[in-house]
Amino acid sequence: MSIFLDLIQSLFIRGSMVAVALTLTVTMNNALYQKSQLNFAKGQVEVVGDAMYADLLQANYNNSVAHVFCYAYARDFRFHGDINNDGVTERVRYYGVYDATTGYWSLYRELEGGVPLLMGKRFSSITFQYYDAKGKITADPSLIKAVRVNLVQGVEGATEGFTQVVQNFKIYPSNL
Amino acid sequence: MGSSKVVLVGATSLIVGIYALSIKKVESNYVATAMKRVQTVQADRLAEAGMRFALNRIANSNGSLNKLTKIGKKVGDGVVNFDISNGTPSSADLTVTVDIGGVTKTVTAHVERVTGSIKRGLKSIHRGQWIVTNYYVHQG
Repeated sequence: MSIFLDLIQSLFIRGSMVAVALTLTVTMNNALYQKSQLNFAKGQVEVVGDAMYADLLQANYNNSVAHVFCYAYARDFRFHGDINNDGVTERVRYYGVYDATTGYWSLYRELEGGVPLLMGKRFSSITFQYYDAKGKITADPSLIKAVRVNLVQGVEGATEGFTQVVQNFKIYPSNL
Repeated sequence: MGSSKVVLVGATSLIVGIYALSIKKVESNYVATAMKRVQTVQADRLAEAGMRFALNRIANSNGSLNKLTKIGKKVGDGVVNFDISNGTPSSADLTVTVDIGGVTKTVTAHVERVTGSIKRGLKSIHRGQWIVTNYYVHQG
């Protein structure tokens, strides 16, 4: 009788060990996945921010057009500047497009009215703000001296902890 | 029973250890990326500061711009170099190079001496009657 009890006890202990190991593996793997996704999203939104920063920095540089910003809305702006220093003024546009099926925004960059380049997707929020020489928020494109960009992107697959990454910067293009 | 405990503790430690190292690696990669970004932003700020510094020297040169070429200045952990070319009493071309932690940034600008009122932006770079008119940040 005691042999059977020992066998059952042994099976129970081994089963528990396997269960603990499996649970631990799944939990740790999930943690690693969440961290990797967060890291990936942070890197991605930073690249988008850096590209916007680099473009906006050249606003009005070598500009042969009478105005700098054609228009400046909350999720869409277009400006002129020689972004690649080739002596020719380029027209650059950044704008967000809302996808009602996913509930997220996508950010596009358009150069000289050409084929739009998808810069990033899964943005829960895209906001552009414009400031005049006194630092006050303005909607007048002719008064713009600084631009604030705020991008909030959802982390794909993230269910706990940081589910969003934010890229927020204010840029003062020196040629404005 | 004794060996079971050893196996349980060993397996648990192994799993936790492997994943902890992997998570640490992911975190380390992100910190490295973030640090690179900090250095890039610092280089941007230093380039602007270097431009102001150089413009200040030009504004106080009393027209002797030819004496102000290739001046280096150590600022914090970085080095700011600037080079003035094509200098005349009323204009010059300015190149500012910043090196901070291996991140380099080069900015070229045309500076002019104006007689009228100076265009002012939030961060317009000007000293006395001298102003930066064409500011280009080279992409590194």
